Amino acid sequence: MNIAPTMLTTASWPDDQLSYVPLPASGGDGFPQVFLLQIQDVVYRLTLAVSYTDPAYVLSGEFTGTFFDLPDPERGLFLNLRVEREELPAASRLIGVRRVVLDMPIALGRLRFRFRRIKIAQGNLMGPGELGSELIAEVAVTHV
Amino acid sequence: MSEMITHQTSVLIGAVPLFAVNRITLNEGYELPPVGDKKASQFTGKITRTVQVEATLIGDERQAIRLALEAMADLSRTLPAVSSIFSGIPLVAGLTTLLDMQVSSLNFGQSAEEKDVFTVSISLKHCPRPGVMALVSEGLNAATAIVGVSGLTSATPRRAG
Repeated sequence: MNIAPTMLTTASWPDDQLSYVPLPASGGDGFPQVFLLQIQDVVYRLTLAVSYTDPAYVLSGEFTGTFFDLPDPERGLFLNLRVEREELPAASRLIGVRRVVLDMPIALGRLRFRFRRIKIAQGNLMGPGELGSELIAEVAVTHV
Repeated sequence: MSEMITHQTSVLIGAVPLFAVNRITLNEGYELPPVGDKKASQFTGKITRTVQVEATLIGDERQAIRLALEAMADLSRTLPAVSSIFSGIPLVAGLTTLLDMQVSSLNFGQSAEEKDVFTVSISLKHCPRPGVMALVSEGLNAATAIVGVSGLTSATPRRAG
C-alpha cells in the first residue's frame, strides 16, 4: 500500500521577522533585578523577580549549590518580568507584568522578549553573585 | 514651572506607598529569660521590633492615602483572625523589610503654615508567627541589608544588543 507523503511545514511565529538583540541582563546580578534599558531613545525600567511558593528553596541549606531551571511549575518557581516607561508618572508608567515562559515571544507594549534559558543558582534567588547562573534572553521592538 | 514628581516610593506600608518619608526608626529589643528562671523556656521569638515612620502626605491624593493607611491599619489587625499564615501587613523600606507588621497607631496632622500637606506618624509592631513566616521575615530583613529593595543596579541605562 502506498502512503502519500505528508508535507510538513513549520509555522512561523508572528514576530520571527523582528530583529532580536540580546537582553543585557545577567543571572549573576541576582533577583530581584532592576535596571534601565534604553531602546530607540526610550528608557524602560525592567524588573526581573523570582516568585516562589516554598521559602525552603531560598533559605534551606538543602538546596545550596542547586540550580533551578525556570519556569519550574513542580516547585512553584517562576520568573516575572515587569516593564515600565521610566519617564512617565506613576499612574501611567506601567506597561505590563508577565510570567516568563521559554522560547515564546512575550509582548509588552512595543517590546517583544524571548527567553532562551533561565538557570538560576540558589544563591542568586535572593541576591547577586557569580554562582554560575545563566539568563539568556532577547528583546526586539515592533513598529505597531 | 516646576512639576512635583511623586512616583519614587520611599516606603510601602502594606499596599500604600509613601513618597515623602522624613524619618524611619527601627527599634529592636532583645529579651532573654532571667538567670535562675524556670528550667523550661518556651522557644518563641526573643526579638521585639517596632518601627516608627514620620512622613508627609503630599499631592492631590493625600486624602486617598490617608484613608488607605487607615484601611491598612484595620487590615493589619484583622488579618490574624482570618489567616493562619499572615499575622500582619508587610513593610518595605530601604532600612528594612518586615512581614507581619501590625499598625499600633496613626497620627495625622495639618498646620496653618502648610494647609496642602498632611503629616503622618505611623507606629508599627512586628508580630510574626513562629515557624516558616518568621523565617521568611528574617530572610527578607537580611536580604534588604545585603541587596536593598529591588534597587537599580545602576542609574546608567543599559543598551540592548
